[in-house]
Amino acid sequence: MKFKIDELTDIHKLGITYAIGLVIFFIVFFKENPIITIITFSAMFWIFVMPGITITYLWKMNFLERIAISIAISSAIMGISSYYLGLVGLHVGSSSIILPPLFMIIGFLFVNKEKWLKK
Amino acid sequence: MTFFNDRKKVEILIIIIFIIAMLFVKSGQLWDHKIMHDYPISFRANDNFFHSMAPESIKDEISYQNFANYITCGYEDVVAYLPPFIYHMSAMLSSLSMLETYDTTHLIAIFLISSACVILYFVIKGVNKEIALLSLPFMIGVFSLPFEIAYQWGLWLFMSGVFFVICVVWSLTKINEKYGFLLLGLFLAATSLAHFSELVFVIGFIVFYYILKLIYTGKIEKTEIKNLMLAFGVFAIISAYYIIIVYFTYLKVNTLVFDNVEVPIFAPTQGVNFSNFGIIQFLLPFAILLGIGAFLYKKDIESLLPNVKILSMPFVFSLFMLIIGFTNYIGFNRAFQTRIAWPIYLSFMMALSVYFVISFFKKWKYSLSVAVSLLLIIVFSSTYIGMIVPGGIMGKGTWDGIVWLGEETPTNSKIMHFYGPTITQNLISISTKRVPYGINTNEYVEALQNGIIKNDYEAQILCLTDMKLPYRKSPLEFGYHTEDADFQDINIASMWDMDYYFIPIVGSQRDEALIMYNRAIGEYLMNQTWIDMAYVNNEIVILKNSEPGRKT
Repeated sequence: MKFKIDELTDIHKLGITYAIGLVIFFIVFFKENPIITIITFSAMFWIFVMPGITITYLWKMNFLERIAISIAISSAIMGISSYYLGLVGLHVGSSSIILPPLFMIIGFLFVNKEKWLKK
Repeated sequence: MTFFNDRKKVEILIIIIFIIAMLFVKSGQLWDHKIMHDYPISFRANDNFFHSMAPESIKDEISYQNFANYITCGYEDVVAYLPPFIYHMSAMLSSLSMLETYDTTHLIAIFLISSACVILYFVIKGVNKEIALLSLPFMIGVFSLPFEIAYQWGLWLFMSGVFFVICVVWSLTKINEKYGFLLLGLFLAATSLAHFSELVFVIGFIVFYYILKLIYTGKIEKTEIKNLMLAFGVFAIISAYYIIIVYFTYLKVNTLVFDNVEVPIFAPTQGVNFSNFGIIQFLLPFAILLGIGAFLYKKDIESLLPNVKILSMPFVFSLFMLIIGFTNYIGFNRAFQTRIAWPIYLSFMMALSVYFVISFFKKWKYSLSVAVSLLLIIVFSSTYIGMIVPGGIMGKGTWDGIVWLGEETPTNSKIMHFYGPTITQNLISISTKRVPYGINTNEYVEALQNGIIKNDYEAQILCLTDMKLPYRKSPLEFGYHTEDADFQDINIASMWDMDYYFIPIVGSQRDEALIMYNRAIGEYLMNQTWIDMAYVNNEIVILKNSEPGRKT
């Protein structure tokens, strides 16, 4: 069976990206307990990749670039919003859990708003 | 060989190999290939410890509105003026994972730098796919310690700033797309919250780029100007709060002196020069000549390289950052930090030179770029092997003592630090989460030379006073505690006023006399009936003073 990147959905590609990233961490930090590596990489994926992924669909780019830009957008929005929400009393622990799904939803709504408005 | 005919797969493979190489040689080696550590390893300067402690205080204190009092001589109202970005990301990652902030801050810094390289790759790919592939190995660079000090000396704020500088450059390529201004505005704001000097440089780049564009093409589209203005509007709204803080601290307290700065203040013996590029340094002047040629003799040069627009954004960016790296000669000591990122910033120029040279001998194909890129990644990475080893100035015993103080002593305790790592890199002492005092080293050394143990030693408060301990009087008015009349009173105390004594009992051979003297003072203190041993391990002793203020 031939493996064609173009035939995969972006959800599949996101899953593959997670798996590849995890393997990279296993290689680089080969002396680490695998459980620690999985927890650390998953936490990084949660706050550095996921928050910005939906909003990147505003712009046309290939999936690899999308992941790189998602890291850029996620870092920016998570860092900025965690700082300002911290000033009004939200603890970073809460920010790290609440903000990624919130930004994913906001991004999804923003990207699809025109489609819905046309209907 | 079908796999290698699929460009998408090959591109993914090379980027994966690049990321592995980057993380393996720059982070894996330094960390003994572990993520979690019992104590901070490979930390070699104050900055490492401070940038690990600030996120720790955010985890404890909820808000980064003010610094924790143990950072600021006991004052509760000192405005947190250091860039908050990496501290918040580190605190979040630490909250989610099982890692301490000294591990997460370091991990985030190297992760962001690796991501910056991949984003820059996409910027360069917009000019030429082959040159983009060739630029990757130059981002790793040939090993030279001055390029690595950002990782080991803890210049993590700078590294996060570099990441957003690259993001800004990428977003400029999208400025004319729908909502492109949002990206530029967001990344400019993030740069200001990551490292303010990088914001100054990247705004300088935007101005430089558009001036050159205007000269070269004779016009800038109205929509582009409109989008740029919208982007700066977004940036101003998002970062206004922090920019006010920067104005009343860095800009008001620091005075710019336009004088020649020969060496970096953060590491005087480790300034980056062209020679640190090793054998590849000769590629740079060649690329600059190509750029000048393209500017003066556009058609002739473009006929030599028909698929490459030499005077593109990546070239202008490289050139600008090369110039910024030399602004130390007019007084900007931050230029030395910029030089540390030269392997990334100048990678386009390096790759362009290689591309140009090989073009004379062989017609370019994508597969040739893949082969050369892979070969160079392997060759350059191999120069790092064994050159970076785990180590640092912190020992496990010393760290265990610091943690013990933070967990087992009342929060208002005064801790006096004797000669050791917490004195030579004095911001380590804030890791105790207690207001730290350090022995007056002049008095200490003088007494050692005279061979006496005094019945009192001066304890000087250790804290972050570089911005004069700013506090808010009103939203747009700041005061400074170091200018308060009573500041000197809290600054200096007697040894007998302290609650705990942190005494290193081992050190390097060079420090043998100092360590012996520590031990002697420790024994003298132990002879007092109101002072007892509270904690001991093979590196340090902690004594508890049950009656602070009582003297012999």
